[in-house]
Amino acid sequence: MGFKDIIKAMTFGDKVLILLLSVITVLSFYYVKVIFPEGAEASIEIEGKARGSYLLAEDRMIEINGSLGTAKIEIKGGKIRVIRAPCRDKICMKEGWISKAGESLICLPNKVMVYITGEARYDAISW
Amino acid sequence: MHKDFSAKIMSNVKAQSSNYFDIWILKFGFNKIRLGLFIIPVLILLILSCAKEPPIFKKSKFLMDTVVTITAVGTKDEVEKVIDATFSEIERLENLMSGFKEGSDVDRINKSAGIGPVKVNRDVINVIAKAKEISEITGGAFDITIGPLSKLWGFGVKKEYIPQEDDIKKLLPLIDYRQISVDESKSEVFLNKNGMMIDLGGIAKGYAADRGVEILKNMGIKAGIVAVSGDIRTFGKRPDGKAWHIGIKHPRESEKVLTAIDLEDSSISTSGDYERFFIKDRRRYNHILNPKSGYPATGCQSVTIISKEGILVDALATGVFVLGTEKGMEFIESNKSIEGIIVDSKGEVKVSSGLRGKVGL
Repeated sequence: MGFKDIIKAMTFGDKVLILLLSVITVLSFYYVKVIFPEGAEASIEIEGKARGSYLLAEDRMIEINGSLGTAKIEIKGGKIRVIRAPCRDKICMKEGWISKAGESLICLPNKVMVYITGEARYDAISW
Repeated sequence: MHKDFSAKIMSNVKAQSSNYFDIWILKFGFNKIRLGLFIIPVLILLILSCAKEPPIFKKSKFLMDTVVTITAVGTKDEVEKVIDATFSEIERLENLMSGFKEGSDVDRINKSAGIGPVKVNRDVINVIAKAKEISEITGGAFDITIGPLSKLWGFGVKKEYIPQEDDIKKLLPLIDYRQISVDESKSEVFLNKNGMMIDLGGIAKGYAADRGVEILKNMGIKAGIVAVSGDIRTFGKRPDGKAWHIGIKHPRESEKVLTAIDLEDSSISTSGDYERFFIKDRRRYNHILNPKSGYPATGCQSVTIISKEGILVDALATGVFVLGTEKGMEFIESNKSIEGIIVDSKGEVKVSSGLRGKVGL
């Protein structure tokens, strides 16, 4: 007996069940992405070296020492921002919250980079 | 239903029990077959999703007073060394072209202004020669001899400083690209007047992007992006066969993207009044200075230029910004190889004819 016999032996219900489960399998790939969206994690780098990765789902405060001084970073409600920076222009603070994959906060004088990991919507941003 | 299914298979098993498959069925039971039927499509999907296109590796570094991000198609193991070599090349260019670094080629040229010609690296000759060309075609809207004015205003150095009008006027005669003498055969540069200063801030990043791409290609990378802050050069295609998808920053809403565009083997650069600015007495003072007036150019909020070469788009984004919305768009339209997007001073978006339908607005 071979594969054909198994197919023959199946009832209509079995076939429907297989089809249904296959559809669920395919859909689950999509739903996993929705339930665990990409970009749910932020990475912090100082002078090109990884300082750590943080889940955006957990609210917290992070203090980091850049090349200029201490910066304070806040994670709240799935978003991240710089709330205190030792630099003069505070450009990273003015940028506000970021939350989407590929977005970043950069403090040039302090050589600190905060970015959301995951597959970004854009390959690069011109500014 | 289940009973029925099992019974049918059972009868077949009895009939052909010599078959290996049948023995397997007897050993492990019928439910396994059914399970197998469900597992097969799952496995196929898993294999499909794992054996997808080669990955993209991205790395950033603080260089040229900004962040340089290099993207290359390949795994980390394959491309990281090549990316690091590219960073080194960009660092070398920075050391030649930075006006703030003591002993750089640009520093030496500036210190010898009005005194004598200076022998410089070939890359510096290339950039200055190209800068003069772009000054020529933009009627002086882009001009690297802006140095003395940049220093006076001190964007990024001094805090909210508006110079005296007299001080600005005194410097205007020093702002003239025609007063740069370039001797390509001797690899020498001379600034004819005492007090002249060149500032390659509006063109060196684009050149670095070009050089970066050259190195990546020479070292076997098939596709990628070199982004020196917002001066971006792309080559090849994404692993999924699509063009690189590049966002353009919104000039007023920093968290937003104005629009996006797909690029293959071309460069894009944006100049905006939001990059470095301060507001005093309800007036916005941005870092892009008009070489003719000595004051910040106010005709646009942002200008994006798209063309083949990085060096060209970098300098033209500044040049067109200075020209303003109307003259700027006229310039873009008169040049077949250049496309652009201008956000005027009121926030209205103008798109060049070659880009219509290619950008979602």
